[in-house]
Amino acid sequence: MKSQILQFKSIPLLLFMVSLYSQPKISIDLGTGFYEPTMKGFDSNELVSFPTGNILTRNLLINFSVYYEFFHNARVGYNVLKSIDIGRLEGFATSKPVFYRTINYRMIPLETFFRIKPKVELNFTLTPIWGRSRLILETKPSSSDGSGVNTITDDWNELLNSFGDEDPLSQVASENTMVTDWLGYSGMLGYRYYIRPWIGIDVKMGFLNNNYKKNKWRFQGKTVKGPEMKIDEIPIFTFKVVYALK
Amino acid sequence: MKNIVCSFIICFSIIYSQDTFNKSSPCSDRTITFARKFGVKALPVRDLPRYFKASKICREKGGETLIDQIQINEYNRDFEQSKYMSSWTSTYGMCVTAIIFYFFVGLVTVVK
Repeated sequence: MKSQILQFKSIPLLLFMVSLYSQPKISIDLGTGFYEPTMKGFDSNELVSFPTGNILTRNLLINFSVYYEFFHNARVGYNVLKSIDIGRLEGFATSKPVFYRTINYRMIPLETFFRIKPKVELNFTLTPIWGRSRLILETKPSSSDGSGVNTITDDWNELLNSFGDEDPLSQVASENTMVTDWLGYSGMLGYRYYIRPWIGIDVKMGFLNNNYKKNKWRFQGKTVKGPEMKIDEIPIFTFKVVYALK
Repeated sequence: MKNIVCSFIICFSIIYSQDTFNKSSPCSDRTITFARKFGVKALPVRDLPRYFKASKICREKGGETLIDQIQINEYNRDFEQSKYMSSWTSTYGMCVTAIIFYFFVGLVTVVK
């Protein structure tokens, strides 16, 4: 029985090795995106001072994607654009909790393309978006100033109040993340220049349209209000390096 | 931890178990011969480090034209394959262009 378990464990390794020997039409992309959302819930919050927004935390996105060329003029893939913010919150009664905010635009793009020159490609992308944002609050109220009056629940209630949620939480368990999901779509036109047959530089421009609702956040099984963000109908530009394993 | 170490040993022994190429005639290495016929992208992933090493030495030994020709052939092969949009892909491309054009026109013209 023990030897069977060991064989079972080696199956994923064998599958990985098989993929190394094959000749997949796969490409891996790594790059950045640039857009301009309006994050009123953070930047114009009167009760809590969120970390000051800058180009890195507001406008810049980290981009990672994998594509599979299933047809000689088309590829399908998985694409993630990620925005991150981190810092300490000011304005709480007794503590200065650490705050993390992530926004993930997850896409399954369908891209068609053609080459106008041997090294130059034009591509057309349309994709649904499954967006997810997370707010994490790491707070140690009792050790912040020695008084120990404020609890984690109080800190969360202060944060939610600042977003306009006036229904207080009675108790916050160890889980410290509030999450929301939404659907959207995006379209992009791209220009790709191959500096080697297997390495290219890809520049895209297009738009993001997200159906984000500030009232649809979830925190410990309860629906709460989140920050106001305008992330629909925004232009987006991406720049990435493509490595083809084809 | 033991499994991870074992996996690394197995993977690296496969990847680096190649016979070393003849440094006196690197341009006749099997990876370069294969790339001349089918292109660099057709090489298995495990052969890529060997190809890059062989092509670098080949260039240094005067085989620059050969390596450049491999790349030119590959560019031309890809160009021939995807020079024209076939089947539904052109319609799709036109739809995407129209949607983006409509979006940007709306962005400029709509006054809120």
